[in-house]
Formats: sequence, C-alpha cells, structure tokens
Amino acid sequence: MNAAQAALNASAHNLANLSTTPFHRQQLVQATGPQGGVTASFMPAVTEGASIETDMVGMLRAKNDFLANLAVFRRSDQMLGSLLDAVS
Amino acid sequence: MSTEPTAPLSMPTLGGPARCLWDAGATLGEGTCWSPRTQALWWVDILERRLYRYRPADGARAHWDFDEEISAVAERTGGPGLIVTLRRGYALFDPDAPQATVRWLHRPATEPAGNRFNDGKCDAQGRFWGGTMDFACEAPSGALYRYDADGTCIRHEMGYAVTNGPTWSRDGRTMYFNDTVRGRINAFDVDPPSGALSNPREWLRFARGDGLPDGMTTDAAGRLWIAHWGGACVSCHDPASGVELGRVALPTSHITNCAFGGPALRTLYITSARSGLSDAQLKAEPLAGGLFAVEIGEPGIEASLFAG
Repeated sequence: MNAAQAALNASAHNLANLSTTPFHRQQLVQATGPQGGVTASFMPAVTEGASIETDMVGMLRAKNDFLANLAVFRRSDQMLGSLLDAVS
Repeated sequence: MSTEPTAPLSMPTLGGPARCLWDAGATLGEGTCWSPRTQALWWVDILERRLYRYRPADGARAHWDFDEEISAVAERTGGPGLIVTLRRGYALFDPDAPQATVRWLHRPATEPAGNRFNDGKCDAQGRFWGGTMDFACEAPSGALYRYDADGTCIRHEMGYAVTNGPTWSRDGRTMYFNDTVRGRINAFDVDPPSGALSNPREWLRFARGDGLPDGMTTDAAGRLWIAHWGGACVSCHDPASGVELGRVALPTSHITNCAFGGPALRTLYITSARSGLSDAQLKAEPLAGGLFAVEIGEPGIEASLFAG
C-alpha cells in the first residue's frame, strides 16, 4: 500500500505540474522482492514534457492497487477472526 | 561518473565487407549472444517465435520454436541452458535437454497487456536487464526491467514506445539504453554493486534519415557499436563523446542487433529484419532478415552470464 501511495503521489505531482516549464516527469521505479513485497522510488524522465494519459492511468492503477491490497487485508482479518472463533 | 579512458579512440580496421552467414529471412532478427561454451551464436526471430544457434566452425545451424515471442537470451552460471525473455517475462530454457521445455521464472503483473519484452542482456554482476515495448511501436509504455538471480525484479518506467539495449561502459558505471522511436540513446549512471540508476540524460541522437538506434554492444576498448534500424549499417562510437568513428555497411535496411563472438571475439555478428520493408524494398534487398558477420581488427568482450 505504501508503493501504491508513492505511485499516486508521483502521478499527482506530474499532473499538478503540467503547465510548468521546463518539466520532466517523475517516473516510477518499482522493486518486487523475492518474497513479493513492493517498494517504490522515482527517477526524472530524460525527455522534457508531460504525459497526461500515462499519469491518469497511473492514478487509476494506484487506486486499484489500494483496493486490491485492502481486500487482502480484509480477507486476512476475516480468516484470522474465523480461526480464533474456531479455537475458542 | 564514468572513468572512461581519455585517449581518443579510432575505428578498428575491418577485415572486408560484412558477409551473410545465414539467409534466414527473419521477420525480426534480434537477440545476438555469443556462447563461449559451445562456440556458437544464439540469436532469435522475435515475431516468428524462434531461437537460432549458428556454429561458425562447421556452419551447423539449429532452431527451436516457442509458443510466444522470444526476444533475448543469456547463458547462466548456475546451470545449463539459457535465461530468455519471452513476450511476458523471464524463463529458463535448456535447448540441449532431452525434452527442452520453458520453465517460467517471473511474469511481471503490472506490465500493460499490449506490451512485450524486447532487447536485453546481463550486466557484469549477472543481472538481466531488458526492456519492454508497445507491440505496435506506438504507445510510450515501454519500461526497463532488471531481474536478479534471487528473484528481485525492478521495473523502471521509461515512457519509450520502443526500447533497445542496454549496453555498458567498460567500467560498468554508465549504462546506455535506447529510446528508439525518438532516435535517442540515453545514458544513466550506475552503481555497480546495487544496480541503482541515476542521472538520466541524452547521450546521442541519430541524425534524421540515418535510421533509428536498435541493439548495441561494447568492445574491449569501450567503443559502442550500434545497429541502425532503417540505416543499413552498424556505427561505431567513442564512449565519452558519442562521436562516430566509422561504420559497417550492410546490404539491407533494417539492422537490429550486434554482438562480438568467435574464438578471439573479433567477429561482429549482426542481425536484420524483413519486418517493415515494402515489397519493393524486399525485392531490392534479398538478404533482408539474414545473419551477417564482419571481422574487426580489435576484440569485443564476452557476454556476461546470468548469475542464477
């Protein structure tokens, strides 16, 4: 969820600076570890200019990542609750 | 910063014109990688989903067909066979196993469905770097991936419609990666132990009408050799200034990749493509899609192995 937050921040930054010149987009660097955890960082684009469609898609993807992660947490919480009910 | 040699480099002598080794008629030849183990050249036809092997000592030719596009290969330290990039990710494949099958390693879940992997190779630390691109070469959705032997996978958003490369400076502290459609070769500082990239910048831009930068490699002196898609040549460049030192002419327009090989690493193997040529061009360029070679007066370097 932190990685999704970082991606959302980058897309928001890029959209908020559309009219800034010269502007180089912040591009996302996502690292997936061997066990599946995701971390995020950024690097400026070489080419000057905005990419509205990329950043709009980035915001939607970050939103979906949030929802997917939230669903996992919710399901995990439900399973843990069921397990505790079963053993009590 | 790079610690490239400051003495000016010159173009090595060529041992004659490039010759066609294999008139394979590849739709999209790519993936050149010399195998010291078998003294043979691996290469691929991405769009025909085919892996090729050419052994110059006796001219032996072999090929293997895949269920999806195969775009780049590297040999391994941890076992026989290859790590390959297929359309959607990384896999192991041992062509010489009794039943050669694909063993998937990783398929990045976040890659757009319209993308596929393209060119790639390993760095000196054994990490596999390769780019993705829009299948139609239009959407700026390409990314640069790094896949490590421990399973770590890093996606660098690039915003290129077509990615090619990478290759590295001899000290491994500069990485070059191509934004092909924009005609640019960009450079990045690299921290070799961690593989972290920084300071992205434009290093070289091809002149209009001289083709687009496709696959490339580095020789032992640090020069970059860059294939020209639409430019019918491989050009040789000084690594510090980017100045062109010379070029190898080819008898077909769409030149796609190159790699040094042969017993002394003094042969430059070059792939080409029929894709994107008009009927008239195909008629005028009967060797389009062939595998070529030219002898170079100075050696290249061995392809790095994947660390897994």
